[in-house]
Amino acid sequence: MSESPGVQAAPQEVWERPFVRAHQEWCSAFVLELRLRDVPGPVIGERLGEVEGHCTETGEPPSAAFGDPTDYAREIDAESSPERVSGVWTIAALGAGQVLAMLVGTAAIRNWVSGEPLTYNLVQLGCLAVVAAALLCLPRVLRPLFAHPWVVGAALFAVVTAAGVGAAAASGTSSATVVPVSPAVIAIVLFMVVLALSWLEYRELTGDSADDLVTSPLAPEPRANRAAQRSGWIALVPALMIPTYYLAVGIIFWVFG
Amino acid sequence: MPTGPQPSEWLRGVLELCVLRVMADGPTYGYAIAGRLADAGFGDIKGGTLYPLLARLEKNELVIVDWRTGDTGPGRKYFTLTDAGRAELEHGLTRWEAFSARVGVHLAAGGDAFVHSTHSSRSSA
Repeated sequence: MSESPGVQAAPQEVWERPFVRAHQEWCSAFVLELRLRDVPGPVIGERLGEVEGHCTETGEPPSAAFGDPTDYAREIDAESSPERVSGVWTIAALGAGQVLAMLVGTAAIRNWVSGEPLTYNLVQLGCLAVVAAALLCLPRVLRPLFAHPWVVGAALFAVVTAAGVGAAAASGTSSATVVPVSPAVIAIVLFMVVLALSWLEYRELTGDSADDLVTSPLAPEPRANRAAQRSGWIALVPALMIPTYYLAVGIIFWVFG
Repeated sequence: MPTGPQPSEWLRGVLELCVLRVMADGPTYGYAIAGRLADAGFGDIKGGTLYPLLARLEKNELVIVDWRTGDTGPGRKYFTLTDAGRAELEHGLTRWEAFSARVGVHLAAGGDAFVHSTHSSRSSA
């Protein structure tokens, strides 16, 4: 058998590999666990490449050769280089900040249009805190969410919905404190904050750390690799989601308010 | 003499040394290492046991790695012993020989005592 050292082909995302598609559940759980541990994408790809190479030679499925994907990910990570990217928790914090700014900012637009001051009572502040806590906990919840998507997803949805309904129901029921700043100023400043956080999130998602995609060191499959070109566009979607929503709600309030 | 698979905890203690010994014969990859160990009578070493050990060797710079393509399969990750890896193997062999000799002496002495006490108890009966 002839072998050539030092394969230098363009990196290919692991998700395009037939082996990964054939063992999607195992591979997804493995990648998720390593991502939550902030292991760099190329390192995850190398670990997955070891699994694919070994299973291809033995003919075993990854569950038989490597056991539970989450346990194996923890074990291999414990024995690997401590190299880390900041990733998941930073993005969760930026996302939570954007959502909070959007909730307060859109409420300010509504009051700006109606000419009323922006007010908050304790119940509403508590509901905002619940929403922020739920968003900040998302990385922690991802493991159970992946294992039991309906149960954990429904619980998460119920908590956020209850906070939203609670905040709406509490408006006008108890003594509210007037925010001593014009709603117009609040709306505009918070929109700037949302834009700034979006920019930071975009930078985090596209990676200061060159390419953080989960790329395979194995020989690329025939399909063309467009991962690098796509990554910038893919990162734009979550980064621009909140500012877009903020603008849309603002326009709706102005037009129909 | 009855022989069978050794208890897994025995193997766990010496697996790294055995893997280093396989690597001393030249660059090799995970599946080939598992095959050599199986041929040597160590049984089926699962990927979940072998690759974390290989990762530890890599982290401790006892091996260098490179990916190679082949005629069959998607590719292989080759492990090559470094000078530090060879030194670790030699050091491990020395320690293992001392340890196994000590265990052998102890078990032989314990065996003599066991035979002697069994013989004495039969005689007195």
